[in-house]
Amino acid sequence: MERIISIVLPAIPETLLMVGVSSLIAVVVGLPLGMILYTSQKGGLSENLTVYKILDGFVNIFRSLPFAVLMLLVMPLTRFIVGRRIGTTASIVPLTITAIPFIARMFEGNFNGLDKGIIEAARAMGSDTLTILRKVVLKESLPQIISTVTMTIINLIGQSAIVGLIGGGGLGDIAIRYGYSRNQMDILYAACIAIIVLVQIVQLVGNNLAKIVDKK
Amino acid sequence: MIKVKNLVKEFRNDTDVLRAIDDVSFEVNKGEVFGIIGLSGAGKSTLVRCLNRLEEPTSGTIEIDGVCINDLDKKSLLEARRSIGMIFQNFNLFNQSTVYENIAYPLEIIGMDKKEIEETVEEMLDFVDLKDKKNSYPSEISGGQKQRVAIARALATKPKILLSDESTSALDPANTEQILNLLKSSVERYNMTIIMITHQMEVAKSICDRIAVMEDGRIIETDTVENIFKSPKTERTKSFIKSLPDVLEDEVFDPEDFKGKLLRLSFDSSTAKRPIMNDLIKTSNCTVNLLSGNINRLRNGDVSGYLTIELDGSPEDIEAAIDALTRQNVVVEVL
Ligand SMILES: Nc1ncnc2c1ncn2[C@@H]1O[C@H](COP(=O)(O)OP(=O)(O)OP(=O)(O)O)[C@@H](O)[C@H]1O
Ligand SMILES: [Mg+2]
Repeated sequence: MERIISIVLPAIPETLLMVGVSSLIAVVVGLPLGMILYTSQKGGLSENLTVYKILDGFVNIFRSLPFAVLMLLVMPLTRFIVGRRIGTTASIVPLTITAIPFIARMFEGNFNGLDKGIIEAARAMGSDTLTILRKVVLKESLPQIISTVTMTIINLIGQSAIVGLIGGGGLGDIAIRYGYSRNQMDILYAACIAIIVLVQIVQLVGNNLAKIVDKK
Repeated sequence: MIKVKNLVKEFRNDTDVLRAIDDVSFEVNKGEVFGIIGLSGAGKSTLVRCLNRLEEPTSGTIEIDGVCINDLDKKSLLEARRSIGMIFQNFNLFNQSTVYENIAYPLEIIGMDKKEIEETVEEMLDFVDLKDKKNSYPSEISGGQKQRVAIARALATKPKILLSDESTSALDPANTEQILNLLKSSVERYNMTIIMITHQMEVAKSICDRIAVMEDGRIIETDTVENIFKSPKTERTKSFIKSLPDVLEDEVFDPEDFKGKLLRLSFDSSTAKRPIMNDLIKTSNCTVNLLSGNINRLRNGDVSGYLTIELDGSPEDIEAAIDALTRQNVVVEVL
């Protein structure tokens, strides 16, 4: 038992670090991207089809690559950014890169789901596009934004386990190193349980947070 | 105040062009409540949305207070929009903001300072009688209250014009009346000009000074409320008015069911006050049978009404009775 704890426990903060940093960057980059997609689309607040098509294309390309493939593909970039190809910090790069287009597309959907009448009312009051984005779109879609972030984090927890395949650190890494390679099933189970618990906590917190902020 | 000339709005897709507004011209005076009625798809919303350029006109000119709205650059357009309030059928309040924050929004975007915003919002809350709902969210108040918040929000910046797109269509009669009273008092208090799309006969009668009837992107008739309802110039207006909901005159009589002649008499202010029926019954040899009727008091104090009656008697007597009525300025229609 002590052995399990001593192996699994240190992996948890590693996973949290990978997931935390990559989701944070993904939100910071993905939110403006989602807004640009939303704003530049046909009939958008500042329609610009060239911008939309380019961005839309990028998002589609990145989203169509399976994570495992993307991870291998961006290895040179990873080495360039963090100096190493594997390890916890190195894993953050592919995780972030896969999360950005995902979250941008989800945010775009969240914004498009807003009642058009509300945006129209804001336009009629003489708001410029930036003000509408800041004070209306963001605020009105806050519950959906929280749900999207929750879903992204959960996806990233799953993908952070795949990073273990290339020695990425975290719970997935020990599951593979001990459970798979050395056939220590107890470690595998423990890592699984830790992942499940993590996902449940994130889901619970996310759902409740979304519910609390939603005044509709 | 508002001058619209030869306005055209076309919607294009890859294959065809839809002319939603087809060469429309009209003028609205300051302080006037101008109604727009017409069938669904006639272009009413599109027309109103062109006025603040939520919809870009294809051609034609729109002049508001001497300023040509078409020529405004982006920045001036935003400023112009701030002097044109707008309210909607679905209220379109910000759901994640309190009543207070909703009303404060238009003031924040013009850069008013916090204290001034607070005073103005309080004033508006008082005007729409919702002081106690200040911290409620839209989901916590009724439809009528939502529309009052929307009015407060639209009027917070003291616009010169209010555009109303079926603002009472989603409300029950009691709330409708309350909203109409609020709109009437905003005309008086803030010297507003209102352009008002409605499907409801009672709404048009109670608040509008003049009405434009739209069909297929054109205005087919513009006149005072009294004239539109009493003596519409076109057949299409007439049939449209009859098709409107909320019409009290919904009882339809089939002349075949009566042995006498069925007449529909229309009154206006001058005739409604005279004892015309009394005279008719006294002087005519026919028997008079009252079938239905109503009298509406219009906004300017005028009245307009109608009576459906059955006249039974010899053809000569009926002829004489109709003559007598016509001489009294009653509009007589034989059904
Ligand atoms: N954005 C748009 N793109 C294409 N066609 C449009 C657009 N907006 C309106 N139309 C078309 O223009 C015509 C007029 O529409 P509009 O909404 O102005 O009618 P309306 O008189 O307000 O009808 P209702 O009483 O149902 O609200 C309709 O045929 C409609 O389909
Ligand atoms: Mg409409």
